[in-house]
Amino acid sequence: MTLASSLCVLSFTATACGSPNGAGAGADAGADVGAGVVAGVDVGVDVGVDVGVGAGVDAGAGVDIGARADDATEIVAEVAAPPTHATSDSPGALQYGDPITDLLSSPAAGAEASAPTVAGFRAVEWDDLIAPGLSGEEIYERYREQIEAVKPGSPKLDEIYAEMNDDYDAASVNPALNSQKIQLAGFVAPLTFDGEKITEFLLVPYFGACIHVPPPPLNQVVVITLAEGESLSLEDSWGAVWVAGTLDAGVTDTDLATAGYSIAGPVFGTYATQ
Amino acid sequence: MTLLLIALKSARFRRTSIVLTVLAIAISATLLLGVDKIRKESRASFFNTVAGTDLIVGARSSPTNLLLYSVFRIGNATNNVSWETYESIAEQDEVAWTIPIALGDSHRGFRVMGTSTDYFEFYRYGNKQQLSLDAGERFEGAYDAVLGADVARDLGYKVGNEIVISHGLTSADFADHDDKPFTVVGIFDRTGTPVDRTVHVGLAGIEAIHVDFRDGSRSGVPLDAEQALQFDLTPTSITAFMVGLENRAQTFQVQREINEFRAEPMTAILPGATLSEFWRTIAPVEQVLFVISGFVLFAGLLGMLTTILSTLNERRREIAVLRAVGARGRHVVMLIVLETLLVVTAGCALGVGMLYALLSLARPTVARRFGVDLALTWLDSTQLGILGSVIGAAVVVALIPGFIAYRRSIQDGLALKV
Repeated sequence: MTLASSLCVLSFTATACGSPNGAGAGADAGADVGAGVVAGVDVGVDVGVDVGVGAGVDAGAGVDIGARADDATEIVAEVAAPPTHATSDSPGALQYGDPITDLLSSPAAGAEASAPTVAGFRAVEWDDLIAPGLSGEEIYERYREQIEAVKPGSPKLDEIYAEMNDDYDAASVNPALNSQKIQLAGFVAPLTFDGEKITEFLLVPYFGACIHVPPPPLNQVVVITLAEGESLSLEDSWGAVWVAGTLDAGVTDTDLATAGYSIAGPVFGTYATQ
Repeated sequence: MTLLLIALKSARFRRTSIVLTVLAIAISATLLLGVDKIRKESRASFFNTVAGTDLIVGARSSPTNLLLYSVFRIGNATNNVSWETYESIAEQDEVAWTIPIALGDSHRGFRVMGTSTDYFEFYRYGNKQQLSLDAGERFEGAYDAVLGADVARDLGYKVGNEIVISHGLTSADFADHDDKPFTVVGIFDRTGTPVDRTVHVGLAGIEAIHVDFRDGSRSGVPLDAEQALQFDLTPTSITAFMVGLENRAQTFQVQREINEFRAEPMTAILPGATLSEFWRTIAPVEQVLFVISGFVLFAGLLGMLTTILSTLNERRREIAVLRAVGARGRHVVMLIVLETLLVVTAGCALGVGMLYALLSLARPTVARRFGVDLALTWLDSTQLGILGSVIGAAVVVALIPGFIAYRRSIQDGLALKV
């Protein structure tokens, strides 16, 4: 990781996490990159980061400075990679908002190979859970004419966009999946614990959903209730998991308030990432 | 058996160094077990406290802060939620039940929580257990209080006692609500959660003791307990509230609605997810503690090795004589290993003893300050595993001096050296 790019990572991560200290450091670092290029001297507060930037710009920097530049890089690495149990050693450590699809398609995570196929269960993607006609693309298609009719930048466009978002957020479940035996991968938002073991959780398509990124719509959440005596350890819940079971879309009642996916007593496992 | 006797008798002559080695091993065993114990108990205490609550709502703040002050009584609220807002959210279709929480007062170091009777109905802890009363009944009147098990035990309260609540979290006299004492009407069963260390009163009670308070201190016109009851005791604001939903698949929708509530900035959190996230950030600290204890163990074993190696010189003749009377090479190795085994086992036993002594000493303080109950349970499989690996490591280490003693026992011990 080059110093410049790692600094970018620092400022990005700090801002994304919204941590007061991290955000401050990130802002300082960002300012210093600019100042450092022009003046070649450090300006800001954080010594490690400042010197690091100086070294990156000026090739003739002394040994001492170089050594401290390494320190800066190390700090950055720690900030950039939140300590996840399962993936701490893999180069693509999880970031808030990472979709499950990225993790599973990344060869570095080595996850794909370790996901077993449970006989009798159909592997589905999160997009399959969206009712027909309600995916982002389809909604856009429906509004395309309207959007093309208005001038770019006009307030009308905002209104249309808000309407599109409402459509997406309404996010009704896909009744076709009701009572289907499916297998699905995602991340865990714990609900109920027995001791420190998780017995009920929400399965979501994004890492850190509900805490650091906007909550997913109704049809992108599955309530998982593990069978009696089964549980998921806290450490395992910090990585990706897969679940295979009979999906209940909650549409049996006419009452709209019961809609929502749930799976009770599933077969489940974690993605062992090397 | 003979070897064991020889080992014991030989050890008697090196009492001091052996006792010191036992102590070193004991300290490292205590540390390793202690770190594991505290990690497990603190996790269990924290995770047992939130069950069945889908959302916790408070004034806009960090999720961790909201969770810590609303559920664990650690830290303080940044702001309050207005009663109107609370009511409008409680009335929504998606919401099955709510439990209001009003914090800010204390009784002799224990926090006082104002709530409604829904608390008895809907609050769950552990594996979705409901709160149950050990004695007495639920609060009804404005000046009724229900105590947590630890409050009653530590302060020796029984049903019928009168207690005085202090304004804020100090126990300074000037801030006492001593003109409006509360009567203990009930005591909860022990839960192993912060409930045990909380004094529960009705929201009306919290309002009543603050009727004649202006800007945080008592106004010039005091009202007695009866007069205060004449006022409208509907709260104007509460600290936070817990929410149970009709349909948990809608958790995120309701959370978003609350977070985007126009009239008042609020934060809604999923307690379980927030707790898990909180623990994820402090997990490295746990690991660091383990690594440090590992190093302490390493230093202890190294000290043991040094001691054995240095006594090996003193024992040259002893071992040579043993070999001369017929002990085989493996017997010499066995002798050293056996001695180590005795030392380490004694060290581990002493370590376990020290652990329990320390735990029982620290238990009340830790419970009071951090809300973690260090229950004195017997060692679990991980902890037995830790002890096993300590002993195993020691035996492996002991093979080094054992082998050296074996190598040089004859030529070294019997050779004439003056």
